[in-house]
Amino acid sequence: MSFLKIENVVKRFGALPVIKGVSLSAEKGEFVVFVGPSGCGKSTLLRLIAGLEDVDEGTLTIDGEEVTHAEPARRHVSMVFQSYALYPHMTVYQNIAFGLEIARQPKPEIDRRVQEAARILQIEALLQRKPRQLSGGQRQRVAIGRAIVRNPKIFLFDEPLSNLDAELRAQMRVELARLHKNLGATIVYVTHDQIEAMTLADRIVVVRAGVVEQIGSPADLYDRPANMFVAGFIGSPKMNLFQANVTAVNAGTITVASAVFPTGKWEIAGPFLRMPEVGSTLTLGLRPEALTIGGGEPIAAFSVDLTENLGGSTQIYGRAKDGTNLTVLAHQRTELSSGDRLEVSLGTGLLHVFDGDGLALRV
Amino acid sequence: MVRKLRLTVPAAFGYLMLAGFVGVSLLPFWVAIKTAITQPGDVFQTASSIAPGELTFGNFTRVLGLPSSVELTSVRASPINFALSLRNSLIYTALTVAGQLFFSSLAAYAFARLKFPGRNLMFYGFLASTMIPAIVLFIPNFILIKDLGLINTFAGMVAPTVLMTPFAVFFMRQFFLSAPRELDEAAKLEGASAFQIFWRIALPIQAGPMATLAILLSINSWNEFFWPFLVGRGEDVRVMAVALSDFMSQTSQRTPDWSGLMAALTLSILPVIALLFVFGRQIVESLQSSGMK
Ligand SMILES: Nc1ncnc2c1ncn2[C@@H]1O[C@H](COP(=O)(O)OP(=O)(O)O)[C@@H](O)[C@H]1O
Ligand SMILES: [Mg+2]
Repeated sequence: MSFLKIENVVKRFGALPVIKGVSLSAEKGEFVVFVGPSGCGKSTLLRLIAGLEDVDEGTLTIDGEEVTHAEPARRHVSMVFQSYALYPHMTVYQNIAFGLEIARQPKPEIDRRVQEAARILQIEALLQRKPRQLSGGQRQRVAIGRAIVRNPKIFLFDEPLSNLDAELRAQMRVELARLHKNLGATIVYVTHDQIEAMTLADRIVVVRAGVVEQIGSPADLYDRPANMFVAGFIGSPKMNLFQANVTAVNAGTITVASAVFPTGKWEIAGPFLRMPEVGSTLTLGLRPEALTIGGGEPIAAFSVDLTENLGGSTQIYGRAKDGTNLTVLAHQRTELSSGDRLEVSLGTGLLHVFDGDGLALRV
Repeated sequence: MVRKLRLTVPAAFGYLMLAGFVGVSLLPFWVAIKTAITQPGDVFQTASSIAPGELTFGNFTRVLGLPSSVELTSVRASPINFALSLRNSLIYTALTVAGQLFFSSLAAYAFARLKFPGRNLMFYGFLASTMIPAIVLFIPNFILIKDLGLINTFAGMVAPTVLMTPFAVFFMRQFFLSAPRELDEAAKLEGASAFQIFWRIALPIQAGPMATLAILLSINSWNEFFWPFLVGRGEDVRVMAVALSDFMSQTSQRTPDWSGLMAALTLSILPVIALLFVFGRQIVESLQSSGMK
């Protein structure tokens, strides 16, 4: 049985459903990331796990114990809030010690554990300061210190890095990954940033409008997005999506037509989950970084609008004959100017195929 | 171009109005002080004048009961025991302020943060009770206190206000509402009870507003007259405001001892003025951010 199990959970605010029947599970020691656009219900889901909001329907199990309506403290979870929520009138030491004091731990034990957490997070020198005397990154560490000192069953993080600048964010990301490895902690982490999700997660849960769109490892979501939403959300720059008409369906292959293809048509090999009908419209997806200038058989032809030189690589924005926008991330520096015609091949990359409902047609 | 301070006609008029208001509000203070530094016998000759008569500090020493004013005590003895009244005022103020601070902030926190059925209804009912004029409550309260045998006790004097007042509850509720909810939630996750969250997190971060409230309530209690006058007229419990009224009723033949009254009054408001001087700015800021004035 999974360490954390959420089954068919529904949460409404008033009459408005915000979480619409979510089921998922996490194993002990797993780093699970909820990712999705703002307002999709990630924080609400986290607060339901913590017990800060009450579940309307469904069940919640932590470590084999049903805690659907249990008091927050009985769930043995720690939460790091987006705002850090440090107690402003207490020193760093008091902030970290507070939960242990409430639990009536003996003083020497509290001291030992606070010092231990401070050592892990390298905030020993800050213990006598007040939160307002700390930088954003330091506050972040204290908030994490407050979470780890209680040795919880599950760590809940709500967008913990979103208030930091880009450099600090990258640094804290690495530290969080290291912390997870060293502590062997079970972590549920919320972010709207798909890069954070990709780099930190063992498993990603993509949420949209209160519904789970897909659950899988970062590689799974990247290689086999279950639908167009996930395809568009995971990966940067965004996947190129364009429409194509099915002109022929043979045993195991389909032929599609679009002005993006240099010859106007393309044959896609299966296996397919379902065979589309001739005459139906599909959406095809090509990741910008999977496309190579030159190489094998060209899959797309377009004229260059704009190039961005990123140093080692170049981002090329172009337009196919029918006006479809295409982006290519070339792994070399290229000298192109606006209006140049370009052909790119897919090599070993994947062509993603979605039906009229936006669902993936290939496994 | 040299910028001059432009005094337009409307602006000048505005300043004139303000100056007028300030003058009108300060005039009674001046009259009190003027009377306090005038010889008791000269009070009526100088009454129509803005300037005091022959200067004296004898009235102050007289009401304080200091021995140096032999010749004045022969003129008139002070009817009050200033030190005892001062002590009583301090006890009365300390009890009502401490009680209101503690109980009102408990109630305010409950109204702001705890979820219970009928919470808002209760709160607005509570607020609506401020519309009942205090004077209507004096008689039933008086009878209650009398039946409880609490006349002339501090318990009876502080009873109506010590538990809480709508003003204090409303004031603190505004601050609890504007505090970040995550702080409470973080403490809740750490296993703190509702009272622990209140006592160790929610209340300490409101130290500033609490101090402001303490000062406002202190001034109020210090100046409270009618209720202490009804239930606390005994010498042992009589507060300053009540004691001062003795100056006006001491004899049937003679006119009230105006200069003694004004001297004692001036002395008794000194603590209030001191509080306002030290904390005035903070009070104004807190009142503004609570959205009440
Ligand atoms: N306490 C609340 N009362 C009413 N609506 C809420 C409450 N909390 C969140 N919501 C609504 O629920 C939706 C999901 O919010 P949230 O979980 O915070 O999204 P996310 O964290 O993914 O950005 C939003 O539309 C938000 O307005
Ligand atoms: Mg959120």
